[in-house]
Amino acid sequence: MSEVVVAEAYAEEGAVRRFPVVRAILAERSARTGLILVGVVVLAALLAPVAAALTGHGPDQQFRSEALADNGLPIGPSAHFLLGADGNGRDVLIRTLYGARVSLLVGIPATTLALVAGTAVGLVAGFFPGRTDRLLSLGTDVALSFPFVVTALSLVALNRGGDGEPVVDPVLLVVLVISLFAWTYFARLTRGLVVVLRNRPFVEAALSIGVSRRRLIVREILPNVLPVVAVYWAVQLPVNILAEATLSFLGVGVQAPTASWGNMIAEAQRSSLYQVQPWFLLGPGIAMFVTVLGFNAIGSGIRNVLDPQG
Amino acid sequence: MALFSVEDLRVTFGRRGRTTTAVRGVSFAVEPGRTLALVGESGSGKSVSLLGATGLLPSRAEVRGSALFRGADLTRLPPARLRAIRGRHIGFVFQDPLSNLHPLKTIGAQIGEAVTAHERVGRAALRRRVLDLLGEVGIKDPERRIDDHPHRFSGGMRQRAMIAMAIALNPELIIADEPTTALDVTVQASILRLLRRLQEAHGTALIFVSHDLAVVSDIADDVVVMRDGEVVEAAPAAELYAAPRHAYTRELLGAARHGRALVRSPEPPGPRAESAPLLRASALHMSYRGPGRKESFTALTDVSLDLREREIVGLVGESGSGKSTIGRIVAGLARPTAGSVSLRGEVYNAPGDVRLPKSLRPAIQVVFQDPYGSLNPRRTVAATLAEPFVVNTDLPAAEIRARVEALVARVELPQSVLHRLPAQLSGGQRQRVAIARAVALEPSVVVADEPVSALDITTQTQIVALIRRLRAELGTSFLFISHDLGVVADLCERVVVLNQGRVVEQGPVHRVFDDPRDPYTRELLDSIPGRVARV
Amino acid sequence: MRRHIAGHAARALATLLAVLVITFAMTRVAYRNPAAVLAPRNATQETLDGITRALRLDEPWYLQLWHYLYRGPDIQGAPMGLFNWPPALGYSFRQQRPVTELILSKIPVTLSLALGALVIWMTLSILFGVAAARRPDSWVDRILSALSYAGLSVPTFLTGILLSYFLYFTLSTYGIRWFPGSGYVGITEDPFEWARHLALPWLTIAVAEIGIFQRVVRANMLDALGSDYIRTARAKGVTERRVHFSHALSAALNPIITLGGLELAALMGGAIVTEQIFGLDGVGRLAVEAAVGGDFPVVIGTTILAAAIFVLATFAVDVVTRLRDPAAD
Repeated sequence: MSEVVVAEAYAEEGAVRRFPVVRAILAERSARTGLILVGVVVLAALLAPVAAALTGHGPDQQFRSEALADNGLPIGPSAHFLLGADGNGRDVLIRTLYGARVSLLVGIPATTLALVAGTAVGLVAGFFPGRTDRLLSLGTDVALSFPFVVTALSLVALNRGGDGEPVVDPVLLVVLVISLFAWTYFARLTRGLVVVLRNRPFVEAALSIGVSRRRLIVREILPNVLPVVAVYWAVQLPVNILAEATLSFLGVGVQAPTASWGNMIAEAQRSSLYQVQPWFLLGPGIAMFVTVLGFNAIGSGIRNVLDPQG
Repeated sequence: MALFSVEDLRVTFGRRGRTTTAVRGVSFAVEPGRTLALVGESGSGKSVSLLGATGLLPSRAEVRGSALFRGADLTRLPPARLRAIRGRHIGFVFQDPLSNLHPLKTIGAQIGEAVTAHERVGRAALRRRVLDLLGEVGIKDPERRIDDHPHRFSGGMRQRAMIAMAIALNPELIIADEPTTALDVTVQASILRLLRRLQEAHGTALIFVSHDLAVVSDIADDVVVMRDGEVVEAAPAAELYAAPRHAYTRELLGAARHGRALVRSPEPPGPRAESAPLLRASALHMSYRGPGRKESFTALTDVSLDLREREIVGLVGESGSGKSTIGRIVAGLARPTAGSVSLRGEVYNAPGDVRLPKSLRPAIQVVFQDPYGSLNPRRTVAATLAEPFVVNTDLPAAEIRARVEALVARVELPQSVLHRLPAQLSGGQRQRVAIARAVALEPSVVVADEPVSALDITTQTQIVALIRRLRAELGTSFLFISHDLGVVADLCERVVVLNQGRVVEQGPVHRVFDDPRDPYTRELLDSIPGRVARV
Repeated sequence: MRRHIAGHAARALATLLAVLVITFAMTRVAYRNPAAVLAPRNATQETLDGITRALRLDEPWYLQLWHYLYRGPDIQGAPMGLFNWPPALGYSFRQQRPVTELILSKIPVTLSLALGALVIWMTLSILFGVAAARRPDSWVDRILSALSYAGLSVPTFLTGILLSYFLYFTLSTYGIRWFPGSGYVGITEDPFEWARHLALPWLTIAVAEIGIFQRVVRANMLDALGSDYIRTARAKGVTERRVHFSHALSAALNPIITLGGLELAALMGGAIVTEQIFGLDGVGRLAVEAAVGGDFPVVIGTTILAAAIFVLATFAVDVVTRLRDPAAD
């Protein structure tokens, strides 16, 4: 796999020209579409409190008398509840908007943390062949062999203090759990890149000038690794957003009552209330789809430019 | 009537709304049984025009004009009819036989497919035909080699297999696109002989594409010279070589100096033979052991050579001769398994922990073959050239800037390149930057490992002239590694000939090339194309 | 080749050992007092102490690990350690059954789910990927890419819910009962019912995987189609169908095999979401219930199983791609 990635990353070299690249990416239809979608989601996340203030509906506030019908079932879309209510009489629209915040607040830091850790490990492993490399590669293998969800469940159990209260903020824990798995991806990518770069003539030329090891990594190798790694940040982000949603869906991610798309969908499914109030499911579902699609489209646009074949 | 004629052919490539024109109105023709050479540098459109004429370009290419093969216009034929002509009536031989053969299919299967694509043949009969073909193109022991994969074949044998595919159905025309470019000279000579023999035996017409007028001189009946997608000059071979009409043809002929330079043999100008050597490599041995392998591979055996002040020594040999390994050892990038290298009497590279003292590190510099790989793609030319000063001196920034500007001028580049990235430079410009970096600290020795092989022939001449001038101005000695005897004869005072990791002969260029004592040297010299034609 | 395999096997064993130790340590920290979890609500201190001793929870963790590996808990005189014959992975607190037996009883479901989905998604991905690569940027390519992006962007749990809503719930309100909403029938009992019960779960997994694989197939096909040996094949007059399916696909297959092996391994370690939505009693569900319920021998067992499958898949993929590569010795 890593060989493919390296080959992909190197196919782009001819196209590297700092600013024209940005222009070329913006010329890609998929990147533009993605930017618009992601822009909408970011805006929604930022404006969630405004929407809450305008409607007077807090994200966790229950409106049992207005939003639940006499038989206890939630109402559908209406003038006051644009996407209707959930089983507890909360406003689905407001909760969906707040869910965008959680998605981004988990996805972005988790991916960034994974990038930093993985790139560091990959740099060291790639630059020091032999024992260091073998040890770090074994570490990567071990991390990859753990089943994601079961391990996440155990970690959540680990987080329960003596009194049953969580020790770490659950949102922070989800960030840590996701980056604990996602760093391997960046480590393998970076290691592959560095192994190729290490044997390139320009590195040997730098060595024969008398450049120190540190300067070699910082000046010659890192500048060639970072742009590629940054591209894969954009590719990995939607994957991690989905991971958060999956954990929350299974009840081990972001905990109720905090609104997350994953736990909203889980609630809709568990109570089967989406069969009478489809927006209970479709609100967070569509939001989730749009977000992930947007980031995927941006990632694909960037890759189209940097690697025209793929 | 011509067998195959191309008239007013134009090829444009469209990509993301932008179009570039590769071929602008090219015409040429080949008669049955004759050989037409299509010559030009990279980007001249010589290959593209042939691929375009036969429908082998990717779909984003647009081809206009006509390409008549026995009266049928290939550019207008429906795909199925065109497919029926390719392989059966027109055979193809491409440049790099490794990338042109399918890595996962056996040689026999790939040659057999050339037959089964057009005919129904039983398995046993097919195998017999493939064996015959392998024998015909001179592959020894075909019974054993037929089921090998391409990676087990040497470069020359792969090219023979490609030729077997091309002649499988005895086509009227063979298009050979730079068929010998990636090969060693002796192999190149044998492939050229094979093509000529097959052509005579079957009366096939041949279109031979090359960047090198010398290679073509031995086999072409007619020559077409191309540049920037246009035909510059077209004439019968004898006429073109004797009296080139166009200035560009003369330039190309001048650059393809191989045969001529060998005869001219320059007088050794500077160094006296008695002066003490600047750099001495003595009794170098090098062997590698692959991981998990018992037997080791010996790259160098007892190699000794000297380099004197202000001297340019050529190190020649074919691929696998160990010449690059010597370069890496001399440059201090690899450690020999035995022997030593010393600079002015001080040993700096030997087995064990011997190191060039930091003060001497800048004294030996390298220039690599690949102009794409030898510059950091993310750093500007200014940053790359400032690096030697930043690392090795305490000069203030303004002074470094001044030195970098002087350096750029010294290698004849405009100051405007300073703020560009390598991707924005041509191959020749990149190689100039790499040379500038190497001479920045005025080293005693520069190891130049095939510095011109990746460049166009006219650019090669310019870089060779630059190296000669730098030696005169700075007094730097060069160890010039090359597979191209013509360039070595042109540039070097002394030459060291390597074969399979051993020095077979060394001495002044004029002596070695005029009066070779070793049979291998003689074979190398005899393989140089175009020599017979002009001597 | 043999040496390569030996090196790989050593690395695989080291990986598994590391996973085992980490998991063991983690469960000991996470379930600080399993005795309290296990004991009946109003158990006396005596009962608690008894459980603690029985499980050797009063010993240091490394002795516990040693005991776990070497002999395991004695259940009615039968040792349950990894190094006994038959090797076992301990005894479930909750279900009062050996862990190995528990896992083995769940494997048919998970295996059916993963393998069936693999066949569907691989076939469709290769067909769609080749079709898209044949004419890049044509309308066929665009539609297929759009579909694969959609598949990639819908979380599995949403796909599952929507499929079960439309193809099970809505259809059944019209009296059409093609696809059951949940449950499993063994293939040996009734192959048709087996396939019918698994159809929706297979589809759920396939949708997400096609989103990944269609693009991988397309990209690798385009890569292969742009290479020189494809031009050689065309120059010989080989038909386009053969160019695509024999020449290009065979060269493009390695990354697909690699990724396919790893995805399959991940699914066999427990397709947790899919199992949950369609009420399939597989390994994933066992693992989740154990983790939630503090049944740590089962947590360790399922984690080791997943890791072993992953390691084995990496190994198998490596061997297969090496066998396909004539340049590897």
